[in-house]
Amino acid sequence: MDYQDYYKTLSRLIKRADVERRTVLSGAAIGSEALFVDGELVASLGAETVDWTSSSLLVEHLSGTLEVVLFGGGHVGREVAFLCSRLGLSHTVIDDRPEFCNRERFPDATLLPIPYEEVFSSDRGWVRPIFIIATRGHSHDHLCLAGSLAHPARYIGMIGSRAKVAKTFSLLKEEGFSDEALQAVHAPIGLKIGAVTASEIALSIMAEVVAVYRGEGNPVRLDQRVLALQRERAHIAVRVVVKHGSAPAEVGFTLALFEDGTAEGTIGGGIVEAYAIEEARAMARDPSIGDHITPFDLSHTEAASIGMICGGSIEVLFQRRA
Amino acid sequence: MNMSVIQKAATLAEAKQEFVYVTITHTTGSTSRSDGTMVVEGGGMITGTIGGGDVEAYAQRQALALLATAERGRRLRYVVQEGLGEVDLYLLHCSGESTHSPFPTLARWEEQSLFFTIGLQLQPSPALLGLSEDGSTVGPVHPQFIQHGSAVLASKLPALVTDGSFTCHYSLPVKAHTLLLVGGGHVNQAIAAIAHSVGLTVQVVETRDEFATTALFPHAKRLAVKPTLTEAFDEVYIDSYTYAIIASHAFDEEATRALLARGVAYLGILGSRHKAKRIYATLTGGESERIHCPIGLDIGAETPQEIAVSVMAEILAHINERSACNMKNLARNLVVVRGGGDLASGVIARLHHSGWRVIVLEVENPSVIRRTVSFAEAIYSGEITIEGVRAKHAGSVREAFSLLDHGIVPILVDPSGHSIPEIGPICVVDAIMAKRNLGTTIADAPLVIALGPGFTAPTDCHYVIETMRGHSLGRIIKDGSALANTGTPGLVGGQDKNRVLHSPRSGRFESSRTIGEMVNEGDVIATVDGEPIIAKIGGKLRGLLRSGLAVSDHFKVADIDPRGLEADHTTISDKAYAIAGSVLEVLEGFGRNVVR
Repeated sequence: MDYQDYYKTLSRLIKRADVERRTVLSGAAIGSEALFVDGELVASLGAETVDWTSSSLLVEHLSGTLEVVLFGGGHVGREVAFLCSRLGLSHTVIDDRPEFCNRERFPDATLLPIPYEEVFSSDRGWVRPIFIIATRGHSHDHLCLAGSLAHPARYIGMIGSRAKVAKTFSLLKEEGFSDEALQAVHAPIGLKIGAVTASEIALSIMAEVVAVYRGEGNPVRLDQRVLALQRERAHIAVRVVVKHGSAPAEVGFTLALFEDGTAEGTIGGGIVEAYAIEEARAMARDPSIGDHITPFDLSHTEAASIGMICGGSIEVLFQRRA
Repeated sequence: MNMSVIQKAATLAEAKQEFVYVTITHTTGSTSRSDGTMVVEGGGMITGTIGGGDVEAYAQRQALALLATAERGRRLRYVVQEGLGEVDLYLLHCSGESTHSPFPTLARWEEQSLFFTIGLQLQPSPALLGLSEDGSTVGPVHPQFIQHGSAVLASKLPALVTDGSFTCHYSLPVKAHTLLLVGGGHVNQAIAAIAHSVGLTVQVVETRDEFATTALFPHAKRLAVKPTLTEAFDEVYIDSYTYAIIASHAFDEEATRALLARGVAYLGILGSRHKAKRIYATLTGGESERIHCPIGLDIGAETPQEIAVSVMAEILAHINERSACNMKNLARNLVVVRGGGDLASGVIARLHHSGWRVIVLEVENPSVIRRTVSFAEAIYSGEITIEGVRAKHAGSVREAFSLLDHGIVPILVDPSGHSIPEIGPICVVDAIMAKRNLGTTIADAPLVIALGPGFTAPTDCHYVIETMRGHSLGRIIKDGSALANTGTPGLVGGQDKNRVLHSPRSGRFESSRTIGEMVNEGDVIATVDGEPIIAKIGGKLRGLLRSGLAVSDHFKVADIDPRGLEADHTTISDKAYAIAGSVLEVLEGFGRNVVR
């Protein structure tokens, strides 16, 4: 499989479910990697014969970045977006009324001021988002819930009184949605904290949302934007594969250096990232340099001398993708 | 982050602009919220909310219509979709000195986080009044307003008061509960921002100047910096509505004791389980009840922002006395039992003890005879406790859910089950024991279980439970029906049909006996329109219909247990428990697949 097909497969897979990536960190096949879904090998890149069950492989759980898709830019929507911003969650706001879906109300959101009917008529590029449905009316709720149920999602929550929820559910049941699918919907939404005002309701919702995504363990959250570029263009993939102690990076952080010298993504920033980019450039220039791992020590002497406050160390894998 | 309703109204009033001040004065049934205020301007612009959606759009239209008139105010009632609930609104037309002038003062009180009430006087004449905790007033106040207003401030609960010709809605724009942040680090900064967004007044105490600045805490009412925390506590307002959070690395035992001594409602201490262990070791049981360490809800929070969400959610749950459980799971944990007779009550008690939330539907005049072990009795008495399970009559679905939140089984009058869609249970148990189906369908819930004859699985319901005494009692029937009613009661203490007494005619049932009494064969147990009902055997009177009810001919009115004193009329029967066990088996098996 060539790298383009491999990254295409990866992009497609994480839109539906979590993917396991196994990477060879030593020996002749260093840098080879493979994707597994439910224990089945789906795609691999690099050496032909690799023992993918070896215990020395790096095993990562890959997932998409967290994103919230919010239907309804009303009072509750605004407060939900406020908390999304605070939590650092990227969010899209959809409302068919432009006066409720604008930059002034939603400073950090991607805005989609379109009729609810049109939302699911094209691929929005969402990777298993967190759907929060808080429209102003029953019929919109129904429309958005039906669309969300048909889309891969991490979480689907819908605001509404018991009676409204029950009515929407019975309509969807008549339309053929299963009890199982409907039982998975978070409606009534949020945690029971006695929320009444819009901001309290938003807090109850976002507490539940945090619990849901933190409950996924700590998957590597792949940036779709970087992934899209990786499947289009030849590059050097720079990945954090080992972390010791306190470092401003996590295993799975990825940066891609392209042939034109530009880089996308991050392995934690700072001086280490600058060194790593230098090394990737050298590798791009010299085809004889194979996939390899370089350790970067952030502790004491070196870190202190360059003014870094974090100690620890990381190991970075450089992979040629051409 | 938004301009408050009062600040908006004050701005408009100062600019001498007309607007309408909308207040929810009362709600019934299922509505999105039970209080709220908003301001509607001439252009239709809304500040604040009364719950959004259709009711808000309706109020907006009415407000615009009111602005076009010279009327001073309007009382309106909005009926929520298909009569599920009602919202009473009052629209005050603010267009002149008398209605404009209170707002700037109210806005100042709000800014100072002074605790105050706004009185929206509906009768005798529309007016807007204010009373603050320090006794200052605004608007044309009078003793009656101040008397009730003081009571509202003391109770810290909003109220709609009617006293003679005086009708006034008292709202409390500033929350009585306040937040005291000890330490000005990242977590407390994040907490302060969210606390402000949900309308809690924030105070900060610190020992280091650079961590208690208005730049870090732009919304704090007070920033107190002193060499020691205990000294700083003297600079802030602390009462039994104070929620304090200590977020510093070292555990400050002195600060903890000082805050507990000042009677704070809640003391959250940021720290690990390990730290918590050390803290609890230094405190007495009474003190540690108010300590929350580790702090916050268990949502896996890691970043300061996530911790802030978890802490503020916990604090709101604590203020509102809610469980902080997942609403979805609470809803999925819901079972409706139709009928509250003795067998139904066995099911209700057993499900309740197993952690299911049960709502009971009964008829208006239940005619159960084993009244000491039937939750249906709550329809008459208001409340009944059986084997430690407390049940209460609920007037509405909303009230039923509020009772559930307090661990009480609600009994609703709903003979036809029309409230089932609104309740949205995961399971309906038909325990009416009418020996025929009175309207339960398999579509009522994802799981429908019926007790006794008259039902066929899987046509009327998913499962039928056998209720006839004998070898098959409690059998779970997936395909078919329970054994047909023989008309003869099961054998107890060597007696069957003579155990049970029926009315000799139709009429009014009267009895002066009480359940649990010993009776002899030949005793008159009761009368129907004066005609006596005679005991056919001796024993303990275990069931007896409530006096005064109208009965038809051959209606079951009493039963006598031939075992006499050893028969227990105060606890749920073996038969009821056997049946309940089967209901629980079906439900648990089903629940595991659906409720996660």
